[in-house]
Amino acid sequence: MTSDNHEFLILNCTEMDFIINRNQFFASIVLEETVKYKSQARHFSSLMKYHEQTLPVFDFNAFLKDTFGSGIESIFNIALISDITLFSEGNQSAYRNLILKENTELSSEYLALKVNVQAEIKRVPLSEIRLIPSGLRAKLNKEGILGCRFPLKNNIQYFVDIETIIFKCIEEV
Amino acid sequence: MDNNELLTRIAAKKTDDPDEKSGDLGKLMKFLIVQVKDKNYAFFVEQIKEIVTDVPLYFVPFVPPYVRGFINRHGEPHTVFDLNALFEGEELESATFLISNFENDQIAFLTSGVTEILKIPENEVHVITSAEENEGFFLGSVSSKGAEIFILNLPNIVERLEHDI
Repeated sequence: MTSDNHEFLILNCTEMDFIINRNQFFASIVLEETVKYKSQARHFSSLMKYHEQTLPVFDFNAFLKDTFGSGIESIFNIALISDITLFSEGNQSAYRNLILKENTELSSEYLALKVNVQAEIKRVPLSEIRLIPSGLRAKLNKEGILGCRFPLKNNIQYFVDIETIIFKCIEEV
Repeated sequence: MDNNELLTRIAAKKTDDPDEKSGDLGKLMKFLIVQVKDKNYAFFVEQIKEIVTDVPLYFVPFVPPYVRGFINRHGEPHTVFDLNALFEGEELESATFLISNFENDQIAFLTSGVTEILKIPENEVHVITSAEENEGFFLGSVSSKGAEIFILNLPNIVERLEHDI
């Protein structure tokens, strides 16, 4: 029998929480040393070293604060490492044409996502995740908001797609 | 599993609500009269299935100002329309929501409160012939206690969202 559960990263923030498909990143490390970086794309604001490679760091905390007015400013952060080669061909091409052209030293395989330390990986039953109401579904899906879940009476968790969110920021340049 | 696969599986689990009502109004028409700030509006009673108060309203980004967010009803997100923000351009401060009976969408309306249930003969409903002035938001009007109350055209109000996003 196949399980209805799937692994998600749950990010706890102030006003609401966010859940990310565990398959969208393959490693997470404490984000210690970063170097400031200036990109035309929003929220790409630092670089980090990972296995001898230099990775651009997408500041997901800043995105959440800008978009949802939620997020935790923390001096301790985690970097989620995503494999760019698993993203869609169009998104990989946009990445090459902007981020890699801006700085040819950057990794063409990986990028990092900065999130706060209030994060945990949990198995969540898919039956608990709801689609966005139909009138807003297409719009929000396009922006990377795929669904939501109400685990507690006074709490919402948005199911977000980090690939769409990151590449919207690249495409808008 | 990628996100598309997850969405397909989530959608497959959602079952249709069998409790849909017919639109047959009969000769005596029933309206739910609600207050929105200092104005009253009429909903067909069949369009509303529940009135809830004091539930949390959750922010939603990328939407027009008259969409105030989501509320949770029985584990399902409902899009909240603020009629005062739509008609008057000013957000309503309230926590009373009417949960609609829409077949294809989960929608709630933010109101100040319910005033009365009005039963009137069909021939006492005044039909609006020109939709130009009110952008099609009203179907007609009814009289109650000496005042004219507009009947909301909910499908047109909801359709407005399609144009605005």
